[in-house]
Amino acid sequence: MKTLKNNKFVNKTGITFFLSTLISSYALSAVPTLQTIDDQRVIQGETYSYQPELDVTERVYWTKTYGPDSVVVHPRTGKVSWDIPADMPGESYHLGIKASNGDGSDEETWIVTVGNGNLLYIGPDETYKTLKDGMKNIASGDTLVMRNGDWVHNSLANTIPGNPYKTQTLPAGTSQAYTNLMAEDPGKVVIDGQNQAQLISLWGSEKHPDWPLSNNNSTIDTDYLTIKGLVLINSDNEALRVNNSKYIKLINIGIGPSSIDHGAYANVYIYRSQYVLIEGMYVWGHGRYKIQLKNSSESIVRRSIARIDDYIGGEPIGGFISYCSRNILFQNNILIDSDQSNYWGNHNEIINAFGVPATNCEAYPEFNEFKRNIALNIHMGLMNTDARQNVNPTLWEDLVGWDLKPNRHSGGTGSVVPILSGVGATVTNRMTLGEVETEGNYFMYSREKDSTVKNSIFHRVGWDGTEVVDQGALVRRGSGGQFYFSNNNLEDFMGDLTDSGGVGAPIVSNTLSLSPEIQYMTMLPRNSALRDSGVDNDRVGAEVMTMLGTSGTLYGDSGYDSETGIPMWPFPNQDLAHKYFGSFSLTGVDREGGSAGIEGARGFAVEDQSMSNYIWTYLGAPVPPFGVSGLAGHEQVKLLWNASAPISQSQITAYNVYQVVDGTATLLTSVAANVYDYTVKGLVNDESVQFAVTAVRSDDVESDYAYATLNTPEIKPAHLPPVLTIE
Amino acid sequence: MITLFKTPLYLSFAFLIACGGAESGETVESGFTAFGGKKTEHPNDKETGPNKSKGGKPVAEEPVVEEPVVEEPVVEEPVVEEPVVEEPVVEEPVVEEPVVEEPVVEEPVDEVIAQALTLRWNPTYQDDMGNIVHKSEIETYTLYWGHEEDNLTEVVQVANMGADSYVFTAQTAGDYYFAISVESIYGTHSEISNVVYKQVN
Repeated sequence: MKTLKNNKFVNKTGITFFLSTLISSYALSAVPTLQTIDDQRVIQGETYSYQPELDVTERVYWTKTYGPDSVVVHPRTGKVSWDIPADMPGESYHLGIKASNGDGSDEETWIVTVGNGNLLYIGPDETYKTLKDGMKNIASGDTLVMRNGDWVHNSLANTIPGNPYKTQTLPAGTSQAYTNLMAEDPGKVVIDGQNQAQLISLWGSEKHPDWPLSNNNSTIDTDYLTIKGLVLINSDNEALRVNNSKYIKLINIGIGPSSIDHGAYANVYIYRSQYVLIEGMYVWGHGRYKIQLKNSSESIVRRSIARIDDYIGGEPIGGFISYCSRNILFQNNILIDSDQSNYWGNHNEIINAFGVPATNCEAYPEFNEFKRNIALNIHMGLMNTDARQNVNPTLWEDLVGWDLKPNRHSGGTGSVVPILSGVGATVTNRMTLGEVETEGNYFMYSREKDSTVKNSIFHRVGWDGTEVVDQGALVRRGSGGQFYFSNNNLEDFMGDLTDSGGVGAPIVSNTLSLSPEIQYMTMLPRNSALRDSGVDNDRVGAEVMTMLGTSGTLYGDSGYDSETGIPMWPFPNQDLAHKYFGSFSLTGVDREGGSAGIEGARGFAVEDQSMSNYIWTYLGAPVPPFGVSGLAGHEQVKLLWNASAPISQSQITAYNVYQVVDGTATLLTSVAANVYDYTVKGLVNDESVQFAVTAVRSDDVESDYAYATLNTPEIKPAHLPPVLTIE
Repeated sequence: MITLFKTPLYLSFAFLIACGGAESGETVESGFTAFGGKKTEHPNDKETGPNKSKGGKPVAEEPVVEEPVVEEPVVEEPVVEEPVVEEPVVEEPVVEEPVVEEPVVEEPVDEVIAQALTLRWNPTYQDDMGNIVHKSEIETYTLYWGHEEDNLTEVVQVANMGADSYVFTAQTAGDYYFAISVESIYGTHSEISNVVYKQVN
């Protein structure tokens, strides 16, 4: 049943709609409503603690929506806890919580400042009304907060203009305290360049050690800055550019169409910089590359979403790009629904979803790593590198490429870039490639240096939408280097292994031909033989289930490339991506004369859908419940979970609760589809137990479970009894 | 055991109309336009000031069409429950049956007394270790009642968070004894409270 809150979000048609919903919905009063939470401060070495309050008496399930990985939200009380290390630099953070029950949900975000930096709010009702004035009136280590609403560039008064006015910028922070520019709430401050002005350009003077020839004629220090929660749309060229800077954190930023009349620009461009972190970004609309780092090093792009809509210009296009850069990590990113290539006019090459292009790079690029990334429903290949000058490979690990239909480059008139184009040293490990349709002559290409593809699944490669057909050879080798093809699962492939136009065959060992029986592109079936069929009993095929790299960490920080164990699903900022991607539209004639335009509300961005739900149901299996957590008590564990996106929730008829012992799940009970918690009693204190929850669809097909909880019941104190009176 | 959730049915048309979404604001000199909608309120609606005090986030004001609030009386009936029979301990996890909320059926009662007894308690937000607890850590209150002080075999559960009262409807004349206990979200149970008494004539 739709809730009042959900209906309000997706449909603003007016009173008649709401009244009709009211009559058919009994429990409207039970939708959680969170009380406003003020911004707060905590000092290093302390424990931050906050108890949110509801305006309803119904019990809810509390989850975290924003905040560092170490922030904990109690699932039943909502209490927020955060241990602040004594040596933590001063910085301001968005914290966010969501209260859900069967009738709906409510969210609240607020700012917590770690350290002693001041906060200054700017907006039409504040002392300082523009970004320009606000930046003048804060000091190093302070936080500038933009009030929620639409901001236009206002003749550069609400931009950080970069090169034209280098001194109009944020005061640099220090290693002890970052300077912060933040939205009041993530996703609710929109700066519109109206295609007239660039929006945020940090134009620093830091000389990159490997690219020392230019400091952009700047004497400005732009180091130790954070920018968080803004949405930048309709920029004149790059919406967000960072030049010659270090220690920059760009967190939870939305980037809309950019450089509509300037074909050479990416939406996000990091140039000659080090120690840059892009995290939780969502990028859509027009643009050459969505996120590009060039001539940069020691930087990370983490937990971000991108969709290529239209592009007109003479440059190559692609998704997540490390261009002539070194030591760039891409962790848990998604390129999705980039399927409108009719509106990719006059472009040059296609650098694919995760690319490492190069032009006059000297010793670069090298040591670029893409781990746990997904490319789904896109008109380009998966990987591309041009690192011919050194032996330190580009690494693609746990990558998923599904429903790939590579477009011809040069505006649809050129040849087809292979799914994997490896010019230079590359290693591909645990890739899952599914449903690939190409007009090219081969799927993978390698030359100049060795390339290795191992432990990977090739499923429906050469897929015409109905069946697998011969669409070319698997591998073409060019001159130089070998191509090693080890312990891969090549099932139902109709083409030749080796392209006759190349210089020879790959070196092949231990090729499998198992039916992968994939239900979800995100993980293998639990009992699949592929789980230990790889080199040295490694897994064959990708799994993208947990986050890699602790949130907020820069390259080299403790935990920057470590397993966090934090579920990847539901994906961060997917609701904001759904909102903004869905509101995009483009009209005009495409390169083939069509005039259908681009509708932003497609794919995962259609009404009642979510990105996680879209990805998990893409292959037809029911979506498992997400957000499953366990609250350990005295001889019991209370399990709680969230409803699925409405488009799938309406098909769920029940949830099944399992106890998992040594990987074997035993059914405990089933509960109705409108029940989102269950208490397992009779457990033994101090003995850890695992539970899991699945969903049953109306066609009686049951989902797998996404994550199992692990809890340890323990002795808990009892409450004192109340004193009772009677009237 | 039937669990009674006290959920008065409020049909507030005025509230719903107010949720219809605000229109976008106009551009101001700073180059700022406020969003419409409840959670993207205009900054003018907020308290201001440097260095915090985010202040309240009031809903953007919209014309409210006041409709009469229709409130239906809550039908509360004591729930008759079979005496609890202690089962032997089973070491396997106990499978908790999903709660099925059965509709309350108004049955004709002979010699209807229908006297309302209001039970109140002071929520003790403290555990037996001296820790302060939040109201959300209380899973449910259990009211025990009976016609003899030492035989409180009937049970009513009050699950609303922060509840501190319950209106019990005595259906027949006689002596009524009540006590209460608390179950925490961690599955622990308090001791039984003091017993209160009322004679219904």
